[in-house]
Amino acid sequence: MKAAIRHLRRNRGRTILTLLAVLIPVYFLVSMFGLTNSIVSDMFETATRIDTGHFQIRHIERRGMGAAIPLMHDSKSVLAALDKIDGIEWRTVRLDMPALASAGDRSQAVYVQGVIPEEIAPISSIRDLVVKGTYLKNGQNGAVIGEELAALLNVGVGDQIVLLGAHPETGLGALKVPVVGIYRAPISAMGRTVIHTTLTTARRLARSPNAATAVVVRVSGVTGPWDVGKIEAVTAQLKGLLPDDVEVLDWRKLAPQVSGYMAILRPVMIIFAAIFFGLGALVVLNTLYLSVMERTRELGLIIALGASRWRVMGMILTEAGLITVIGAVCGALIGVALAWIVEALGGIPLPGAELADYMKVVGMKPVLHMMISWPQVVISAAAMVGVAVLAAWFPAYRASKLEPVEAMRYVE
Amino acid sequence: MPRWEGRERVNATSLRIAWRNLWRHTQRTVLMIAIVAFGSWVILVMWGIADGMIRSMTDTQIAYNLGDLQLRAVGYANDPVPSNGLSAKQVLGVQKVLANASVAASSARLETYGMLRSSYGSEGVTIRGIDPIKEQRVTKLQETIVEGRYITGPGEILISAKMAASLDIRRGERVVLLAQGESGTSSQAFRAVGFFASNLGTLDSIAMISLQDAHAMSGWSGLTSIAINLPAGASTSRYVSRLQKDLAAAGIEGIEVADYFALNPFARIMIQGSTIKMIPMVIMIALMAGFGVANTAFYSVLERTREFGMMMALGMSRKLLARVVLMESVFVSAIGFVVGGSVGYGCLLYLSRHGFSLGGLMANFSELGIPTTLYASTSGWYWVAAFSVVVFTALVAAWYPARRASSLEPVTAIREG
Repeated sequence: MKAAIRHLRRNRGRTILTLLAVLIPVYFLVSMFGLTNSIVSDMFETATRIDTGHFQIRHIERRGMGAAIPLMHDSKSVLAALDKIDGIEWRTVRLDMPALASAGDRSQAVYVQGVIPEEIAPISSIRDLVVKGTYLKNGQNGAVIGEELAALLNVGVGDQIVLLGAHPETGLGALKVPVVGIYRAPISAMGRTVIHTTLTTARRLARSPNAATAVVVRVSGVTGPWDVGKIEAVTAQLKGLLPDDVEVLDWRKLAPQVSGYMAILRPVMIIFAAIFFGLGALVVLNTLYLSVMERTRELGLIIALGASRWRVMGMILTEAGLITVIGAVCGALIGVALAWIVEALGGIPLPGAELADYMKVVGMKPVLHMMISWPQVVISAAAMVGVAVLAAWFPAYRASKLEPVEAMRYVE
Repeated sequence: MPRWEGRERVNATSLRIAWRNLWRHTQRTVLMIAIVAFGSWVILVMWGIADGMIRSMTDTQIAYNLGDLQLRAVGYANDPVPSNGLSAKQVLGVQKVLANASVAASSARLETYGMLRSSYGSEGVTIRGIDPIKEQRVTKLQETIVEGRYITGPGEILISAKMAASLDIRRGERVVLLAQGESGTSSQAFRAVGFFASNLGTLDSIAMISLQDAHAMSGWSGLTSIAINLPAGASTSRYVSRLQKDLAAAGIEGIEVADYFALNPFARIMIQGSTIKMIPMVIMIALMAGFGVANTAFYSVLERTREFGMMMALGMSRKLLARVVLMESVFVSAIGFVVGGSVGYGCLLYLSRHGFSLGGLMANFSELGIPTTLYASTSGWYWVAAFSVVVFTALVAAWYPARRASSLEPVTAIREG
């Protein structure tokens, strides 16, 4: 140990170089994790708060119904089952159905979401997203539509739109409703297609007085997709309590865009990590190898004086371990510090209206945030140390294999 | 020792010495080469994949969905409803212009939004009215038909296999389209004659019907666009300006000649985005490769202090010595680059033939027009990009060791080495 430290201090330039070779990859990874965490968490929150909830209970779908969801006429027994279990933060009944919204000679296929306004108020941020008019009140006959749809249909607050309900189980039902509010959607596809009405209005459109399509549920304490376990713990309790003809669908099925994004993120991060670590490891290998070559005579002497080969190998590996641990810790700390600074400044805004439109299409906010997860930081740093020490094994092995006499005779 | 004189002679000698020096330490040299090779491999492959993604997107969109160019009414893009489209009168004029414009093919389209209903479900669709024969000369959607056939006339509908599965529609079954026309909601029954399975999520929600049916449903006698295919190898921008000129000469106003970037406004920003993402990666790789090379070169100089001192005492000039050290780095970078480059191009070639699937992910981004299977690209430019990065870092990295070698004092060097 002492020998290792002393040797590291003897060659400051080289030590710093090796340090950097470990520090930079770790720093990059921590920053990338920070960015992607925040993006994933944003997408998750947007999807689960405004639309899907953490899970939904729906009638089992027996054949392809397109955008339609089978009607459930007995939502009361589902609610009763939910009352019996723990861990539920919030739930509401909703009736979603495809419809054709039209005004004048314009039309657009939409999803009407029939909601209970006072129930969704505390959870859904859609009320805060209303930019013109107001959100729905209980029992009000009206529709809240997205800015994109308002532009497509060329309507404003107070104008009438015609909804042609097209639920396959009930046949066509037409309804004329006034636009009471216009919201600014976080995702453009949502703004173009999702219309909120009260549950009563939607039931009239479905021509069925007690129909619903889903009970939407949020689980307490869930902050992001990493809390899947908590959601599963709650849905597991439901087994046996629910009627036979319903099923539980969690957000991964309901918001495939979020789980799809996460699914692609993992391999991408692994590839990036492999590239960074690969380069870092090559530099560590290179530096240590040189330092072993340089010390051939010295190491030969140490072996000649009776140090075992394991001892020599251990010495080199300690040297490598020491330097990579310091480098990795520094890299991680710099990454974390940067994330703190970014968050303290309120995120990095991305420039340009065009970019903002683009981000809206994929459902991201035009401000970059960083969200540090300690397990990821620790794993990045530890993996780098592991890879670097592995890389150090070759020079260490060479050092241990030196023949004392020849090594001492070795001329640089 | 040869005598160091004459420029040509000196150059050849420095090359020979540098080359020989390198192979005195095989392992060390191989290590340096590995670092450079790895760096150039990564740059090449990343570049090829990023660029391939953009190219796949452009090519697929043009070939299956958009066509090379489209003529649209000014203002249609911002508010895409049929009544903002080309009027019947404009269409007549445009067709005359196109007849003389030597385009490969053109196809009239009338698009509107509506809803498709089967016996079991319903889903929102973009209704695209087309001339079945002309459309097949502009886009290749017919090549992706997995069941049944293309439409041949009124009363028939072609939809994606995905939509068919989602609505449980079998071939030959009747479906209903609902759309808003000028005189209220119109509904019309169609027979599903075929299903296609293209590489583009955008197309999954498109229903192709005949132009006559689209006219009847939308109540619009004009078109929303005319898609144009250019002769192979033609310059798109040249055609854009030519058509603009022709239209102006024929006195037809209010028509926009839209190329790919106008038709797919997100394409440009995606290209910019992917370039911006490359920059930190390239810098990082350059830094690491530079470290590796500089470090090794530096120690190889230190190690040979005595040797260099001796060479200088024997009359080798500082300049030549610096050049030898520099040449060593250049050799290493060149070999590393060739190795990494060849392997990198091999990988790209494989990926450009076989492609890689993005699976379900891109269904989400279908609005951006990214195909679900991407192919890497193998443009010769990546050589240049990777090469300049590698050579630049190698030279910068070798500069300090070379300077150090050339600033040695022969006597001290021999004594200390």
